[in-house]
Amino acid sequence: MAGVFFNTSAVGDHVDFRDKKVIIIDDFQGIRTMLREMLKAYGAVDIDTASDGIQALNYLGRKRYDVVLCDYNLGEGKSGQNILEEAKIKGYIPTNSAWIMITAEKTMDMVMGAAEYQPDDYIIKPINEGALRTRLEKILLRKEVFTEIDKAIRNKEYEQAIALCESKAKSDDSNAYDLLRMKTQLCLQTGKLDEAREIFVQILEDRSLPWARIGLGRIHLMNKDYLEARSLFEEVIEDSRTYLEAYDYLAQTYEMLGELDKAQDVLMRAAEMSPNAIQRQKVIGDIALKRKDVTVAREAFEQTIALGKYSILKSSSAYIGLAKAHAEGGQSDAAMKTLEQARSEFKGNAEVELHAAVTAGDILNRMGDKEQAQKSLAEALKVMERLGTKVATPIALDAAKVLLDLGDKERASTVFSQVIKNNSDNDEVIAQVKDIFIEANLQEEGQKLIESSRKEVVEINNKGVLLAKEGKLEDALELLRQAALKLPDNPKILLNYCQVMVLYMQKHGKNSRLLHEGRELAERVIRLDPSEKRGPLLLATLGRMK
Amino acid sequence: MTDNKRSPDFSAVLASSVHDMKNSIALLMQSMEDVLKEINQPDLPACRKMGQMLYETRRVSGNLMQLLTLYKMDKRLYPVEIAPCSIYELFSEIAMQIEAQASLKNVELYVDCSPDLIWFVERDLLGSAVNTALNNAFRYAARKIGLVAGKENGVLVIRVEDDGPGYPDTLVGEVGEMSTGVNFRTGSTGLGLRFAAMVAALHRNKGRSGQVHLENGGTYGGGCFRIILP
Repeated sequence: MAGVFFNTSAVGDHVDFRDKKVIIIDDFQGIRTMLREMLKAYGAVDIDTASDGIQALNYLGRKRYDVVLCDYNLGEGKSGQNILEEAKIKGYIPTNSAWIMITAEKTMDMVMGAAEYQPDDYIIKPINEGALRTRLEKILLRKEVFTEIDKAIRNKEYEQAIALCESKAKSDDSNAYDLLRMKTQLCLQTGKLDEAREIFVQILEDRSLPWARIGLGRIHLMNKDYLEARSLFEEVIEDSRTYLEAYDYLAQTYEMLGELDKAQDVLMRAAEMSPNAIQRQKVIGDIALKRKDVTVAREAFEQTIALGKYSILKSSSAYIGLAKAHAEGGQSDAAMKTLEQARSEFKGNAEVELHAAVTAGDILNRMGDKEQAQKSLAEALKVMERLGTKVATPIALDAAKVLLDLGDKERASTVFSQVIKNNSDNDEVIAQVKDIFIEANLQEEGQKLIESSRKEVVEINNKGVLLAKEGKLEDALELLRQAALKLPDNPKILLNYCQVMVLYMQKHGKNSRLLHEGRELAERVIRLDPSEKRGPLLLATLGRMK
Repeated sequence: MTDNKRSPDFSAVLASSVHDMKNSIALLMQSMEDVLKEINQPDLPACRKMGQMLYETRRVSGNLMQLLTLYKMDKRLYPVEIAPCSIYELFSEIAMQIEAQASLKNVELYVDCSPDLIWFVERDLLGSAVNTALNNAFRYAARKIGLVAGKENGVLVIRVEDDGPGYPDTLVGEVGEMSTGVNFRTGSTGLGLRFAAMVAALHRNKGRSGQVHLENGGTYGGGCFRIILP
């Protein structure tokens, strides 16, 4: 008797496809039919098909699918990757659903892209009926293991999620590494750097896995041990040349060390291998612009814009960057035209309007048209007022610099002062402010402004702490709440506000609104400054209060 | 391959052509499988012939895929992903792809692997290397082929064994990554072996690298292809 015989059979659970909702996305009718027949053979009944991105997103927006089979290359229009990103960002994809990318070949872009937008698996054509089923079942079963953890994460119950990862890793050999990896990600996110380090070290004793070495490097990066971080990332690249995540972190490290040329070089090596990673192209543009490498900046921003054509990740700041690169290269007309494009591509987006107006002001001023430049800035300031504290620091800095160049010291100081207060302990931002004043030959004035603005922040903090010590918790809470609203990027203010919240709840009993707000604050602090130890401590305290 | 930016890179032209051919072959294979399924009489002489055609086509497809992968490796364009993988599941997938062939050729394929066996491998590349070794075994086996995997002294050992005439003496031993044995038994170019050796060498842990060995004897007395991954 001919055929295939297994000496043992896996005693795993089988997946029942009868209740699974499936969507097939492919531009070829023949493939859609073939896949549909396969899924029917597995028992699936509820099967939708779509031939392009727009149709697919329409379906995905209306129905929660358990299985998505999506071709990577869909011809003109949105690619499979574009659809996946958009569906994830718009929240169309339940955590336990399986997204499988179907592709003719394995490419760097697909496999080494940003982790948050990776499919659960990919299948290389030709597709075999049995093999697809095995793969699908494996992913769906694996997803079940993570459902509970995902739920805890969504509810921001990180302690719970970490505990789940740990207990499941002990009993589930086949998913142990993924569970441990997830645990380390949660630890890094919640500032438990020592706990994450322990797992990385333990794993590395057994096997030299790139992600564990990158994890160790990231901890060094967070702790500002740049030299240690650098050598770890370099080692990973030496051993696994195609592990692109290491290039991104190495570039970040070089940036922190002030070695922009090396950062750019590292990223360009990665981009050569994976030219369609939109976020990396944008970073290359930003770094090249800082280095005044106009050619590279222009190319990178143009590439970012082209890649964003059908992507939800399309970036307005790539347009601004391209305009700046044009201006830097002496092509003012092209620069103004690019700003126009940005305005029309992002109609109704106040931040884009603001940034475009500021950049236009700068270009006009450099062209010697002071009057038009001032007009443009007046327009910008109006938008800025409307946006209030939501203006991002880089945009505010750009605006302040142009105002200073235009000789409008008073308004420039107001904007600078807000930036400094919002970033009073951020050495990088403070250094940028200093540089701008030095360039304008106003070093002393800049120094004074920095000192007085920083002092204001210290005073608010002291006052808040004093009120709390005197037991006037309501007053302290109100004072710091106002301050946190005005200075949303200042970790010290946020931490003190959060601390007072805890004291308040310890005295007056817990309060779900404050608990929620406090957790968001603590998470924000961890993101803003991972080396600040109080963020994770407060997050843990709030977690225990629940 | 040299990186001369002035002259057009001929290897890139070759690679994109290979890519195109691979897609056509995939469609061809699908159609042949469909036809075989439709007739559903494996004993018909026409079906046997078709089985032979399918075997040759699969060989071409595998070769093209490996050529393309070697090219991408050389250009550092292949995303190597060494991750925990269930060897049992990998074998199940391979077995499913080869099932039609096994029935047609009247050969029995015995898969021996624990469902709990998990190892750090580059799934797609290892799958391709094992697939090629199996295809080769199909060519020479009389009745039986074994696909076996297990842990031995802290490393993973995968064996593809058959009851055929075995490898010629000149091929027996460790296969080097650079070996150009133009005589992978008869008529072969050594691509499959070279590919397998490259895949093995990609797997490294604690100073050890993977290896490929060819031997004779084994469970069924024929050729034995052994891949060892640390």
